[in-house]
Amino acid sequence: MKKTVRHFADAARDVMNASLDQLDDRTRVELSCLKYRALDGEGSKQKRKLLWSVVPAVICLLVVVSVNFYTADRGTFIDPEVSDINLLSTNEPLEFYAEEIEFYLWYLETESVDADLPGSGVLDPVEHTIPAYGAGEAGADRSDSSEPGNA
Amino acid sequence: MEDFFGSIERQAYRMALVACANRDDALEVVQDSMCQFVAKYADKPRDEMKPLFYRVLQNKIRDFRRREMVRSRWRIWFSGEQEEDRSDPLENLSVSGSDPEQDVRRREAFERLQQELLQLSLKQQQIFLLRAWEELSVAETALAMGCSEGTVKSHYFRATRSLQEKLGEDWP
Repeated sequence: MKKTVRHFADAARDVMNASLDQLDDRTRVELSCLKYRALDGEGSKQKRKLLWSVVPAVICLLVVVSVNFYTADRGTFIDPEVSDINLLSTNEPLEFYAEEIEFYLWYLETESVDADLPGSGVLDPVEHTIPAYGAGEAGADRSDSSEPGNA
Repeated sequence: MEDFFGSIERQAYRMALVACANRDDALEVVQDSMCQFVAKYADKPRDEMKPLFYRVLQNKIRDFRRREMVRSRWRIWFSGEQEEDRSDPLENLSVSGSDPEQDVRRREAFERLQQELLQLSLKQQQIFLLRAWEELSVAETALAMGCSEGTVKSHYFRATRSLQEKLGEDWP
């Protein structure tokens, strides 16, 4: 029985293989077209894959460039209002700046007046000592004798 | 890949033709199978390709048969007179050999075999084609058909016995 099955299978194979040669040209051409269409589909899919792998990289690059551009732009631009805000937002009390400004204004005024007087090139070290920057007590001592208001 | 398709495209078409009984449907099934195979298994080694391709083909044939069943039900419900122009697959055979007598004999033998194959169940028919024609092993046929090796053996045996009985001793 096994031999018969084998024999029958061989005969069937021969008949079916012969039938392949009898396929008409139109069908053969169409089969070739199908084959190349499927292979083209693979090519375009690979291209699409490549494109999708490049797109995120391009997006990341654009984000980095735009962030860097924005940051660099902000760094070179100096806004006077912003600098004032920086001044105002420091921890130093506002009175400190007011006192200093008044003092320096007074000092400039005094200096110009003294310069006009003959023989007044040297200032009295006791009365015209310039306090150290930020010395609160010095400013307080100074207020007794040499405040612009008192002068 | 191109060589592989070249080696199996006509067999695949014949198998699809036996299952679909229509030239255009068979070509469509083969095309879908090729596209899906390329998409899924293009990087597989060459020796694994054959059973995998036939697995894809068998799935496509099964899908096609299911769709056809649904369509035929709708056709029965809505209209009996809308007959599709289903050409005879055998009309696509051309006489290409040098010996016309031998060609006619082969054509007749194939026609009888095809007619008897159509009488078998889809599973028996496809298992017979894969085992006898494509010479796939039992394991490869089981992989292609998505069933166990025992099922392949029993279906192949029944299909062969049935065909032998119907075609007779003097075939081909």
